[in-house]
Amino acid sequence: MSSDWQRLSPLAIVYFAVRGFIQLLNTYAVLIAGVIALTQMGLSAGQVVIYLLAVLMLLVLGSSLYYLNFAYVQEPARFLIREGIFSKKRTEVPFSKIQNTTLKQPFYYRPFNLVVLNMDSAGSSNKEVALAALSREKAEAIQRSIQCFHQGVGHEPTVEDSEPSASADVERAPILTRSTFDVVLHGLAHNRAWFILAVAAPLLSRMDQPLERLFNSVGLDVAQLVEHASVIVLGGLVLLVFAGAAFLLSVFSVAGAILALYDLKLFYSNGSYHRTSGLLNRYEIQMKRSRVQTLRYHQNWLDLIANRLTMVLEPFSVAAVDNSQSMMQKILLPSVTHAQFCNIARHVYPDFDFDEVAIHRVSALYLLRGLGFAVLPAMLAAAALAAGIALWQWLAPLLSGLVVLAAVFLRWRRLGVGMHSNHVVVRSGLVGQQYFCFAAHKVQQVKFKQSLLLKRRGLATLELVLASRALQVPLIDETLAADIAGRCVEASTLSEQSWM
Amino acid sequence: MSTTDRFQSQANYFAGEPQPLSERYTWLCCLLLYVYCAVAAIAAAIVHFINAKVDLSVVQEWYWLALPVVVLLTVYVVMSSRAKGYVLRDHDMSFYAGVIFKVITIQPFTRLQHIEITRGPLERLFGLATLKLFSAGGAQHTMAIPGLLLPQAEQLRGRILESKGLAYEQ
Repeated sequence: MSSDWQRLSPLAIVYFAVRGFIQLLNTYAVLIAGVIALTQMGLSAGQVVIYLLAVLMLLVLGSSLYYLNFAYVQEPARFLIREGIFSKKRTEVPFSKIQNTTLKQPFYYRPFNLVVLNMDSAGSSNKEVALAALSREKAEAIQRSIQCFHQGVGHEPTVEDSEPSASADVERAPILTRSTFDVVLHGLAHNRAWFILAVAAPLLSRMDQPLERLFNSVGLDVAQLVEHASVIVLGGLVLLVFAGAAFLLSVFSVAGAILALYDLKLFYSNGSYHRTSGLLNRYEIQMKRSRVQTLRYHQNWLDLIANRLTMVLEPFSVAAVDNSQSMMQKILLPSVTHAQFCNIARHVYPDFDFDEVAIHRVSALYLLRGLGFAVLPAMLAAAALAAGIALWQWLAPLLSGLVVLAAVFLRWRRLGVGMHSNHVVVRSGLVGQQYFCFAAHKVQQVKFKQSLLLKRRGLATLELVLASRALQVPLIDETLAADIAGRCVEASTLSEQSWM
Repeated sequence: MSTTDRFQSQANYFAGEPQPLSERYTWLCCLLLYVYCAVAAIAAAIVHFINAKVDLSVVQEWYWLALPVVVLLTVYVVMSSRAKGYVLRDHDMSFYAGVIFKVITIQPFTRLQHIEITRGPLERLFGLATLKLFSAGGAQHTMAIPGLLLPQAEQLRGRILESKGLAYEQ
């Protein structure tokens, strides 16, 4: 392989300009908003256009300079990247540190079939290494050579790298595809509108000013309405406003889901999963099967109605390891059915059968504890807040107590843990439910917690720390907790398989 | 079921008496407690001197309570520092802590990222050290074993490194 410095295709300038623009927006959002607000009055349309053109020129100039100064070398075991206009920077990315490669196709590259290759490296996580405007073949060749390098480290270098045709056949048949209907369903079930409704309702009293202005602008005189209209009409009006807001948010959520997840396909080849999706920008996420830390089965209450669930393949989170903000890409599969989840779970863990898992529920003492530690404090807080307000001083503690009690009960109904052939399943949830499935040997650390009271009742709390998240199961039988803890530690110790 | 049997036949993870920490650690904890109490008392005094209008009659009525509270805190600190202990086994290390709420943490060596010995100024004064075992579970799950005599900590670190289980060696 030649070790000459290579330039990217000139079309990379577009990518750099867009990235620069987004960075600019992110860093100086407040400043830009301020400038816009200040200059809003005395600017004609022509002046605005001139300013925008100037900004655009600067961006293009900057990106062109950046492009001219950007070069990379692909060596047998590492990348060298040279970048920077004024302050030069040289980055070395050894293949062994690359956890994950992602192909992304922004909409402006689609006519040219160019892609952006992102590399997540374990060490320098907050720095994104991206090669823009590569041809698809070139990017896939780079991915293959990184993959071959990894396989070469694991075993002896084998013939595997000389049979891309066989793997190409595998890639033709996706494990999972999602229709537009599934994606829309996901967008509807996972929008924040319901949350906004719940949070915004108590703020209603403070909303009267802006609402009044809104109504006035539409031509409604609120004062007159309040005087003449009945409570029912007013209530209906408020409901209408909130329904409108919820509808708008749902539309946004569905649009977002379609943009990101349209035409989703999951492939498996060469020991890794690939997910491709996206309407305008095409995304391709890759994850090695051995790097899957947890399988997440997530079903919120709307999913429950639709009888679907969201499946997530979670890699280890860099955030947990070095506190940086960058997270490894998860593979999210929207609106899958229970059977599909079981199939993919069996694909990830060949000897694991999700339906065979017997979940052990949490002790009923959890309810009693919830009564003391959640229901009572909530009632006291509500009583303190509503003290002296007629009727509410009785109603508020009662209502909040009932709500929290219901939450504690629902949570207790969901909490549980089970094992099947060296795989642990932890269940939680409130109205909906979620399961976390993982191989016992992926456990990093085990915590066994027991107060004197619990010890007398033979109960214990178990916490299993993984590289992706920590999972806690409270108040289960102590022999069960000790058994699971022991099996996880044993599997971690005995297993030749690495956790990564 | 066969896997269950296999694992249950292995040694029980919660058997065996934990090694207690050094006696000096108890003294260190008590000293720290008194330093905190002194800081709190000084802060209260400063507030009183700066703003003499603050009504301290309530405090003056109850000041005799300070002594029993400090005694109780001392008892708790002594108990909690004595409740801590560790068990070193061939492939893992367990850390025991807690007086009323007991926590046993087990860290398999195969999942270790690196090991560190840290010594704060007070620890150096007492000739103590803290052994930290880092795993990929994240910063808040780092196992820290305080109150070890320095040679003891170094010996433990040596034995863990010898166990050849470290994650990066795989």
